[in-house]
Amino acid sequence: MKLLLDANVLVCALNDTGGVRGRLNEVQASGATILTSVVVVGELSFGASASARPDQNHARLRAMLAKMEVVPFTEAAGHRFGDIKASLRRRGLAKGDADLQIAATAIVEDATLVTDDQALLDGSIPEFRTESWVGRGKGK
Amino acid sequence: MAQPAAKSPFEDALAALRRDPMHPVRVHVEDMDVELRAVPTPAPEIPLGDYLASLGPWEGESTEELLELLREGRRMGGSKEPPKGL
Repeated sequence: MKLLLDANVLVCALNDTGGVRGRLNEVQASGATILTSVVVVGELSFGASASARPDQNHARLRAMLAKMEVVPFTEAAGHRFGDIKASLRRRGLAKGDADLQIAATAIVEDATLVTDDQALLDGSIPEFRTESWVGRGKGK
Repeated sequence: MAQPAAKSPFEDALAALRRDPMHPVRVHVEDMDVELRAVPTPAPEIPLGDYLASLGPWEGESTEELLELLREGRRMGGSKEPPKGL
């Protein structure tokens, strides 16, 4: 099983909230491959650069990525992105490009996206598997 | 009644090391002198969830503030207007 972690899930893992830490340990112990996307790296890097403590958070981000496999946005993902975006447009649905790039990456990698982003959890993208781990108010 | 097979010098050396793991044991095996020593068992790698939590928490913004910043980034899909003063 492959799991691709979204930015919001990695934030919860870093801050040890929402029960993400335990779920991540469990799935890793079960043999799952844990990935993230270069698009997610860009978002978290934006978060660090826009932070009140950019140096500390960039260092934290580098340490995090040293232990994770980062999947690039490949040519195949680019074609899938275009197909998904056109399909949504025909159906009168709009989503952000970052959402669609992450979704396309997960589909091409045959991975399940773990996210707390409601726009990605609504089931509107065919062949796209998602899970939500973040338990609101559940603490650690 | 069958006799138990004699132990090889290597098996004897391993047994000696088990009795006293602090001291290496030398044994002659065929045409080689071999030294057996116990080494520390490597600690299992820290689970990823524990590792990520050990790096945190994010500094300067709360979880909700950071998540809102990331949501804003996705909604805008660009850099938007710079904050005043830049």
